[in-house]
Amino acid sequence: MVFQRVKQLKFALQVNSAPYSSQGSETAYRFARAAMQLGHEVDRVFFYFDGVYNALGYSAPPEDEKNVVGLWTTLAVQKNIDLVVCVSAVQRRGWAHTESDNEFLQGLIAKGFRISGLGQWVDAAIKADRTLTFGGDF
Amino acid sequence: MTSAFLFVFSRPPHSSLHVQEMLDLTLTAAAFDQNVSLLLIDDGVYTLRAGQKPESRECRDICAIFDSLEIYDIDCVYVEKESLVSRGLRSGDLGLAVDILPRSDVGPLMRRQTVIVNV
Repeated sequence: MVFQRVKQLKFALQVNSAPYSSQGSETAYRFARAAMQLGHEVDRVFFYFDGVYNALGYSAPPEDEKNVVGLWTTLAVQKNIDLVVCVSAVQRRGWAHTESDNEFLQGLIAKGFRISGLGQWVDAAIKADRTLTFGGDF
Repeated sequence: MTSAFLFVFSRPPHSSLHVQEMLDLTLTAAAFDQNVSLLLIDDGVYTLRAGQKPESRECRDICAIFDSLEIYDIDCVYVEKESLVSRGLRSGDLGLAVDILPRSDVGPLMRRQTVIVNV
Protein backbone atom coordinates (compact mmCIF):
# COMPACT_ATOMS: atom_id res chain seq x y z
CA MET A 1 0.00 0.00 0.00
CA VAL A 2 1.29 3.47 -0.82
CA PHE A 3 0.68 5.99 1.93
CA GLN A 4 0.35 9.63 1.18
CA ARG A 5 3.00 11.64 2.96
CA VAL A 6 1.50 13.95 5.56
CA LYS A 7 2.97 16.38 8.07
CA GLN A 8 4.90 14.58 10.75
CA LEU A 9 3.09 14.65 14.07
CA LYS A 10 4.10 13.86 17.61
CA PHE A 11 1.57 11.67 19.41
CA ALA A 12 0.98 10.97 23.08
CA LEU A 13 -1.18 7.92 23.75
CA GLN A 14 -3.11 6.91 26.83
CA VAL A 15 -4.32 3.32 27.25
CA ASN A 16 -7.15 2.90 29.73
CA SER A 17 -8.40 -0.66 29.33
CA ALA A 18 -6.99 -4.03 30.29
CA PRO A 19 -5.78 -6.39 27.57
CA TYR A 20 -8.26 -9.06 26.38
CA SER A 21 -11.30 -7.55 28.13
CA SER A 22 -11.71 -4.94 25.40
CA GLN A 23 -10.19 -3.80 22.14
CA GLY A 24 -8.65 -0.57 23.47
CA SER A 25 -5.12 -1.71 24.18
CA GLU A 26 -4.67 -3.60 20.93
CA THR A 27 -6.09 -0.71 18.91
CA ALA A 28 -3.62 1.62 20.61
CA TYR A 29 -0.78 -0.76 19.79
CA ARG A 30 -1.80 -0.97 16.13
CA PHE A 31 -2.23 2.80 15.96
CA ALA A 32 1.23 3.38 17.44
CA ARG A 33 2.83 0.96 14.99
CA ALA A 34 1.01 2.40 11.98
CA ALA A 35 1.78 5.99 12.98
CA MET A 36 5.47 5.24 13.28
CA GLN A 37 5.46 3.41 9.95
CA LEU A 38 4.16 6.64 8.41
CA GLY A 39 6.98 8.62 9.97
CA HIS A 40 5.10 10.08 12.91
CA GLU A 41 6.49 10.08 16.41
CA VAL A 42 5.01 8.24 19.37
CA ASP A 43 7.13 9.33 22.27
CA ARG A 44 5.18 7.95 25.14
CA VAL A 45 2.30 5.62 25.90
CA PHE A 46 0.77 6.14 29.33
CA PHE A 47 -1.11 3.24 30.92
CA TYR A 48 -3.85 4.35 33.30
CA PHE A 49 -7.10 3.07 34.82
CA ASP A 50 -7.31 -0.69 34.09
CA GLY A 51 -4.80 -0.09 31.30
CA VAL A 52 -2.07 -0.80 33.84
CA TYR A 53 -2.81 -4.52 33.42
CA ASN A 54 -1.10 -4.31 30.02
CA ALA A 55 2.18 -4.11 31.92
CA LEU A 56 1.80 -7.27 34.02
CA GLY A 57 4.88 -9.29 33.15
CA TYR A 58 3.35 -12.54 34.36
CA SER A 59 0.75 -12.47 31.60
CA ALA A 60 1.26 -15.77 29.80
CA PRO A 61 -1.49 -16.66 27.35
CA PRO A 62 -1.31 -20.03 25.51
CA GLU A 63 1.17 -19.92 22.66
CA ASP A 64 -1.44 -20.00 19.92
CA GLU A 65 -3.18 -16.96 21.37
CA LYS A 66 -2.34 -13.31 21.00
CA ASN A 67 0.04 -11.95 23.61
CA VAL A 68 -0.90 -8.30 24.01
CA VAL A 69 1.66 -7.62 26.75
CA GLY A 70 4.32 -9.16 24.51
CA LEU A 71 3.27 -6.96 21.58
CA TRP A 72 3.88 -3.84 23.68
CA THR A 73 7.22 -5.12 24.92
CA THR A 74 8.36 -5.85 21.37
CA LEU A 75 7.28 -2.39 20.23
CA ALA A 76 9.13 -0.72 23.11
CA VAL A 77 12.30 -2.67 22.42
CA GLN A 78 12.23 -2.24 18.64
CA LYS A 79 11.07 1.37 18.44
CA ASN A 80 12.42 2.69 21.71
CA ILE A 81 9.13 4.23 22.85
CA ASP A 82 8.50 5.06 26.47
CA LEU A 83 5.81 2.87 28.05
CA VAL A 84 4.82 4.37 31.39
CA VAL A 85 2.59 2.66 33.95
CA CYS A 86 0.84 4.90 36.46
CA VAL A 87 2.04 4.22 39.99
CA SER A 88 -1.14 5.40 41.73
CA ALA A 89 -3.35 3.23 39.49
CA VAL A 90 -1.08 0.29 40.23
CA GLN A 91 -1.23 0.92 43.97
CA ARG A 92 -5.02 1.09 43.92
CA ARG A 93 -5.12 -2.29 42.21
CA GLY A 94 -2.93 -3.91 44.80
CA TRP A 95 0.30 -4.46 42.92
CA ALA A 96 2.34 -2.55 45.42
CA HIS A 97 1.91 -1.46 48.96
CA THR A 98 3.84 1.76 48.85
CA GLU A 99 5.42 3.93 46.23
CA SER A 100 8.81 2.85 47.52
CA ASP A 101 8.07 -0.78 46.61
CA ASN A 102 10.01 -0.14 43.44
CA GLU A 103 12.08 -3.29 43.42
CA PHE A 104 8.98 -5.39 43.90
CA LEU A 105 7.18 -3.47 41.13
CA GLN A 106 10.05 -3.81 38.70
CA GLY A 107 9.77 -7.58 39.19
CA LEU A 108 6.07 -7.48 38.28
CA ILE A 109 6.12 -5.34 35.18
CA ALA A 110 6.99 -6.61 31.73
CA LYS A 111 10.14 -5.63 29.87
CA GLY A 112 9.89 -2.26 28.15
CA PHE A 113 7.55 -0.71 30.73
CA ARG A 114 8.48 1.61 33.57
CA ILE A 115 6.57 2.88 36.58
CA SER A 116 6.05 6.58 37.07
CA GLY A 117 3.46 9.19 37.94
CA LEU A 118 0.64 11.11 36.28
CA GLY A 119 3.00 14.00 35.60
CA GLN A 120 4.51 11.89 32.83
CA TRP A 121 1.15 11.87 31.05
CA VAL A 122 0.64 15.63 31.40
CA ASP A 123 4.20 16.25 30.21
CA ALA A 124 3.64 14.07 27.13
CA ALA A 125 0.25 15.67 26.41
CA ILE A 126 1.74 19.17 26.57
CA LYS A 127 4.56 18.30 24.18
CA ALA A 128 2.49 16.28 21.71
CA ASP A 129 0.65 17.60 18.67
CA ARG A 130 -2.14 15.11 19.38
CA THR A 131 -3.13 13.25 22.53
CA LEU A 132 -5.26 10.16 22.04
CA THR A 133 -6.98 7.97 24.60
CA PHE A 134 -7.84 4.32 23.96
CA GLY A 135 -10.26 2.12 25.85
CA GLY A 136 -12.07 2.91 29.02
CA ASP A 137 -15.33 1.09 28.42
CA PHE A 138 -15.31 -0.48 31.86
CA MET B 1 3.95 25.78 27.68
CA THR B 2 0.26 26.03 28.47
CA SER B 3 -2.39 23.86 26.89
CA ALA B 4 -6.14 23.80 27.40
CA PHE B 5 -7.29 20.51 28.95
CA LEU B 6 -10.94 19.50 29.16
CA PHE B 7 -11.86 16.52 31.33
CA VAL B 8 -15.26 15.06 30.52
CA PHE B 9 -17.06 13.24 33.33
CA SER B 10 -19.82 11.10 31.87
CA ARG B 11 -20.22 8.34 34.45
CA PRO B 12 -22.05 8.29 37.77
CA PRO B 13 -19.94 8.65 40.92
CA HIS B 14 -19.10 5.80 43.32
CA SER B 15 -19.77 2.95 40.86
CA SER B 16 -16.07 2.45 40.21
CA LEU B 17 -12.71 4.12 40.64
CA HIS B 18 -13.47 6.13 37.55
CA VAL B 19 -14.30 9.55 38.98
CA GLN B 20 -11.45 9.39 41.47
CA GLU B 21 -8.88 8.54 38.79
CA MET B 22 -10.28 11.18 36.44
CA LEU B 23 -9.93 13.73 39.24
CA ASP B 24 -6.32 12.65 39.80
CA LEU B 25 -5.60 13.31 36.11
CA THR B 26 -7.39 16.65 36.33
CA LEU B 27 -5.52 17.81 39.41
CA THR B 28 -2.17 16.73 37.96
CA ALA B 29 -2.80 18.78 34.82
CA ALA B 30 -3.72 21.73 37.04
CA ALA B 31 -0.56 21.23 39.09
CA PHE B 32 1.37 21.67 35.83
CA ASP B 33 -0.24 25.12 35.48
CA GLN B 34 -2.36 24.13 32.51
CA ASN B 35 -5.74 25.64 31.67
CA VAL B 36 -8.09 23.02 33.04
CA SER B 37 -11.86 22.75 32.60
CA LEU B 38 -14.31 20.05 33.56
CA LEU B 39 -17.52 19.06 31.83
CA LEU B 40 -20.20 16.93 33.50
CA ILE B 41 -22.41 15.24 30.98
CA ASP B 42 -24.80 12.25 30.81
CA ASP B 43 -24.75 10.32 34.13
CA GLY B 44 -21.71 12.40 35.07
CA VAL B 45 -24.11 15.10 36.29
CA TYR B 46 -24.90 12.90 39.32
CA THR B 47 -21.33 13.51 40.47
CA LEU B 48 -22.37 16.81 42.02
CA ARG B 49 -25.86 15.82 43.19
CA ALA B 50 -26.39 17.41 46.60
CA GLY B 51 -27.31 15.29 49.59
CA GLN B 52 -25.04 12.32 48.87
CA LYS B 53 -24.05 10.32 51.92
CA PRO B 54 -20.81 8.79 50.67
CA GLU B 55 -19.61 7.91 54.17
CA SER B 56 -22.44 5.37 54.49
CA ARG B 57 -20.84 3.37 51.67
CA GLU B 58 -17.19 4.03 52.54
CA CYS B 59 -16.95 6.31 49.50
CA ARG B 60 -15.11 9.58 49.25
CA ASP B 61 -16.93 12.87 49.27
CA ILE B 62 -16.62 13.78 45.59
CA CYS B 63 -18.46 17.09 46.08
CA ALA B 64 -15.82 18.15 48.60
CA ILE B 65 -13.07 17.37 46.08
CA PHE B 66 -14.85 19.43 43.42
CA ASP B 67 -15.27 22.16 46.00
CA SER B 68 -11.49 22.26 46.44
CA LEU B 69 -10.79 22.67 42.71
CA GLU B 70 -10.54 26.43 43.19
CA ILE B 71 -7.37 25.89 45.22
CA TYR B 72 -5.85 24.45 42.05
CA ASP B 73 -6.99 27.46 40.03
CA ILE B 74 -9.68 25.44 38.29
CA ASP B 75 -12.69 27.73 37.94
CA CYS B 76 -14.40 26.18 34.95
CA VAL B 77 -16.79 23.41 35.88
CA TYR B 78 -19.50 23.03 33.26
CA VAL B 79 -22.65 20.93 33.47
CA GLU B 80 -24.64 20.16 30.37
CA LYS B 81 -28.19 21.41 30.76
CA GLU B 82 -29.91 18.69 28.72
CA SER B 83 -28.25 15.95 30.79
CA LEU B 84 -29.61 17.56 33.96
CA VAL B 85 -33.11 18.08 32.61
CA SER B 86 -33.47 14.56 31.21
CA ARG B 87 -32.63 13.22 34.68
CA GLY B 88 -35.18 15.44 36.40
CA LEU B 89 -32.51 17.63 37.96
CA ARG B 90 -32.07 21.38 38.18
CA SER B 91 -28.99 23.44 38.97
CA GLY B 92 -30.36 23.86 42.52
CA ASP B 93 -30.06 20.10 43.03
CA LEU B 94 -26.29 20.30 42.68
CA GLY B 95 -24.01 20.73 45.65
CA LEU B 96 -21.80 23.28 43.95
CA ALA B 97 -22.23 26.44 41.91
CA VAL B 98 -21.36 25.51 38.33
CA ASP B 99 -21.80 26.91 34.85
CA ILE B 100 -24.82 25.34 33.18
CA LEU B 101 -24.14 24.95 29.49
CA PRO B 102 -26.71 24.18 26.78
CA ARG B 103 -25.78 21.28 24.51
CA SER B 104 -25.29 23.68 21.60
CA ASP B 105 -22.36 25.23 23.49
CA VAL B 106 -20.56 21.95 24.17
CA GLY B 107 -19.12 21.74 20.66
CA PRO B 108 -17.65 25.27 20.77
CA LEU B 109 -16.24 24.53 24.27
CA MET B 110 -14.51 21.43 22.93
CA ARG B 111 -13.13 23.30 19.92
CA ARG B 112 -11.32 25.67 22.28
CA GLN B 113 -9.34 22.79 23.85
CA THR B 114 -5.95 21.32 23.06
CA VAL B 115 -6.55 18.04 24.88
CA ILE B 116 -9.92 16.44 25.66
CA VAL B 117 -10.06 13.45 27.97
CA ASN B 118 -13.30 11.55 27.76
CA VAL B 119 -12.68 8.09 29.15
